[in-house]
Amino acid sequence: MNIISFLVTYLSVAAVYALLAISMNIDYGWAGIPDFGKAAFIAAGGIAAAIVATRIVPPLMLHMHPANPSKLSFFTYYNGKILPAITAHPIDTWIVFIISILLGGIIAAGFAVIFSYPAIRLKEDYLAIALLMAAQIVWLFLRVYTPIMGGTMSMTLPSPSFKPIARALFHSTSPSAIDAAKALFLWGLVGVFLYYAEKQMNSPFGRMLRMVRDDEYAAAALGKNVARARLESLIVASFLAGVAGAVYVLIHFSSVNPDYFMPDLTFFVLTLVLVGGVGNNIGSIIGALLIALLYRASYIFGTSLGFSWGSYLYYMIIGLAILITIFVRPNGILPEKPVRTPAWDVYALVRGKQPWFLRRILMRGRGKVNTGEKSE
Amino acid sequence: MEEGLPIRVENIKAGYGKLEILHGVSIRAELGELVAIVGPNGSGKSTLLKTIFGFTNIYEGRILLGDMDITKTPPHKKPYLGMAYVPQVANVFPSLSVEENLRLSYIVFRKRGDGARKFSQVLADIYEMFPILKERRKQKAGTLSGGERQMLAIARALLTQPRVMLLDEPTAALAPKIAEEIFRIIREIANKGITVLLVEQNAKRALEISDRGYILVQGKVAYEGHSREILSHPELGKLYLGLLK
Amino acid sequence: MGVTFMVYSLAWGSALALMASGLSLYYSVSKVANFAHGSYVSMGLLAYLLAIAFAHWGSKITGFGIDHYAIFNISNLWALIPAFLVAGLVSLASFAGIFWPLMKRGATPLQLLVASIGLMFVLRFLMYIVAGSMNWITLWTPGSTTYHILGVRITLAEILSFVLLALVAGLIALLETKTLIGVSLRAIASNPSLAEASGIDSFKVQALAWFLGGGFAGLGGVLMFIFTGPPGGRPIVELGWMNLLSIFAAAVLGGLGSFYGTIIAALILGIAFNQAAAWFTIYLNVSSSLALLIPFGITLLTLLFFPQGLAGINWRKLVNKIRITRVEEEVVRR
Ligand SMILES: Nc1ncnc2c1ncn2[C@@H]1O[C@H](COP(=O)(O)OP(=O)(O)O)[C@@H](O)[C@H]1O
Ligand SMILES: [Mg+2]
Repeated sequence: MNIISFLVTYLSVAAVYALLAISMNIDYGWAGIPDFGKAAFIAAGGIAAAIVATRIVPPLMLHMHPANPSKLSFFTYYNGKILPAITAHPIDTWIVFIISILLGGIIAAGFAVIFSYPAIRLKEDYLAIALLMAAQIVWLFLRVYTPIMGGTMSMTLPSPSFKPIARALFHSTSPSAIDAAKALFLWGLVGVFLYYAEKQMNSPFGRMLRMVRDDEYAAAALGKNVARARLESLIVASFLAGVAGAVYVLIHFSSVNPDYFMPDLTFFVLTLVLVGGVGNNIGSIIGALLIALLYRASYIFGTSLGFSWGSYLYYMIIGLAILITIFVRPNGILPEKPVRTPAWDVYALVRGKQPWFLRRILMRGRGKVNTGEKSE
Repeated sequence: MEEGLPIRVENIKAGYGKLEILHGVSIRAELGELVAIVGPNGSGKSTLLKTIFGFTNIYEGRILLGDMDITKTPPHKKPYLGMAYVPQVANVFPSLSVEENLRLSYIVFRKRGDGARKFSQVLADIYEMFPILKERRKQKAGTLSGGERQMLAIARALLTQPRVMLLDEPTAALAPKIAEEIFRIIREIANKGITVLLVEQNAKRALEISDRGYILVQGKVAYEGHSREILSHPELGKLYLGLLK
Repeated sequence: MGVTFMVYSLAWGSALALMASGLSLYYSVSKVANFAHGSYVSMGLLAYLLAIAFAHWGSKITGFGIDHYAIFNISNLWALIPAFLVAGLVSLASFAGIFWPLMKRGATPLQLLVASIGLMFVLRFLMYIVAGSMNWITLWTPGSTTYHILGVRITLAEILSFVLLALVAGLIALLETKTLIGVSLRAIASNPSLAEASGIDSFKVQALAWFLGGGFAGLGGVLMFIFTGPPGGRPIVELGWMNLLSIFAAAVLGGLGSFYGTIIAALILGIAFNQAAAWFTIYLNVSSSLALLIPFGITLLTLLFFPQGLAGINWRKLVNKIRITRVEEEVVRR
């Protein structure tokens, strides 16, 4: 029983990580953008959930005044009146959830449009640092600007209620049944993300992204708009990150706090993708499953050691996971799959001729090139 | 100064990444010989020199320096074996002064010099050979004119006391008078007994000063022979070298 | 406020300059945007504190007793040497053990960057073991001998940060012009493959840059700790991490890889950050941590217009442009 409850919570956690990883895989894995601002895009989901719970749902659904987290009276009003009112009806908690994920995605996409300005201009190193700084600014801002999520004190959020789902599926509302329902729901969500990402990946859009990543100049020579491809990938990835962020705070934490979105989060998500396989969605999910397990195991093990540093053992685990991956399997556990339709075939189909820079290679396969006369 | 060394490239297949550029090239240069490698643009002349020095991927074949197999020797060890390479572009350090550019050759010199002559003496000789460099010695190499830059690049190579020199288009984009000066210097180097592989766009002049020549076309040797023979060949000039007689 | 505060801001900037110029030094030859650089900062600080602790082993060294010995004074100066050496050696080891092998395999800049994140986590954990088993270290609140010169209050740490920065800048200037290995360093930075073709031992030169770069970070770490104390009330191990983005801001603003550009950028950011922090707390009544907005904002804006940072700006061209516009204005006026 204990093992099962561990497994169920573990699976829920891993599912949330998988959502974050899939989003990272789109801009980092396919487009080669070192999206070190990921924490800010995830924070967009947190911002959305906080706004929805305090300012949108109360006046809209409950005929209550919106709550302002920067006011002193906020806690008595929000915790005492609004939260109980929302959680009283499971349906309302789901409405909060649905508005939050949509709004989170939209806010994140908005951030992406702003961040994309440097993203399509700067070199990799500079870009990584610029995005990291931008994310740090968002984090600092959320800490100081209290009207959004009340600064550094954690604000409780109305989790979507899994009781009805548990009752329908397992005919039980025991805590373990609820947890199981939650895990099932989250993995369903992972399935949706995966389906969407896979579809995008094998579309002309996905192929173009990888082409831009592998050889910007060749892509430009083929008439691809490199800047636009980068922008679009950043928007798509960020929308998913915003959605995942709302799930992260509403289901994973049931609360929100700016410190959930520190840059460490970006590196953590990066590790999932890196270990699982850059450019491979299934790989990202495997990475999430594996790292979530290591993370929890090392935390439990570390704290049971009785040393003050035991609780930091996960730093070591994550660090070693990154280093070992880079040295032993630079492409991760599941490396990227080859493109299903080679881009040059698509080009030949459209333009009726081979791209100039490939003509040479392709020709060699088909017959000897006449090299002229031989002497002596 | 030590004598030159023969260099031999045997049936080399090489290129960048998986892209093969040289499809089985064999060339040789005997001791103290000046060998010209000419051919149309993009035929792989620069790639050949880069391959000899170890900057490309070699898939097949081997390279011999004297009796020594240097196919797998990394580039940074080659200067110590008596090889010097002057690339086609970026052949000096632009942000360093002329003097600093030359001073770097001491790294190889101190291992290769014969002990009898000090670096400062050799440097003085070089300044005598290229008086303009002495004038410009405090100046950043990036501010030199094209001809001065080529001279600096050749001077850098000479200071390492090489036995084999690989020169990639040392007269590209130079005024005819300056190009002529460089050709004269190259001939002088070969006369001293250093083996020289000279890649040139100006096929006519290169063949006129060299002993033997190779015509490289699409990554293969299309013709090899004595330079005079190539120059007087009725077809070759027209076919490959843009020489109209 | 006034002169005293200006001196403090500049000293803070000098400490940042020490840390960031170290990063620039090895970035110029190895092109690794190294996130573990913050760990060298913390390592230097830990080495400094441990050296003092061991030197006073006989005395009552636990708890607040250590504060007494930790006050930065002339008799403690020697402890900067282990700070420099430990940080430098860890940096050297990470180059030789991780980055050089990866570079040999042809790792991309992004892969090197990601590897440095892994290294950062590992080093951070190792430091937690050291600092955690001696938890008195975390109680440490720094102080420094204080002097009054011409009515200006100046601490030993402030004086030392100016002196050290000047020394480091002078040392690098000497190294890069007077020694063969220093000229080689600039040669590799300017054209790595030509440097290789010239027989330069790239590993040796880069190793030197990493050792010095890490060492400078360690020195800067000690000074920054004296100025600001434990970062944001977090364990002192986090000092490097908390300053990492400021370090990168300075290095990027200076034009990654430009040693002197980075020093100037760090001094500018030092003034900007500290003035903003004071202003934020006094006039806006918000946390001074938000003042990081200013250095980051400056850096981001500069990057947008000059993607290569300050060093990438063609000053002569810029001046000419301004001059030409002025001439044009005159023409228009006539
Ligand atoms: N770094 C490189 N990567 C890939 N292909 C290259 C590279 N350098 C040259 N090439 C290709 O190799 C071929 C031969 O180039 P090169 O050796 O420079 O010719 P040449 O010096 O005779 O003009 C050309 O088709 C060129 O496009
Ligand atoms: Mg060429």
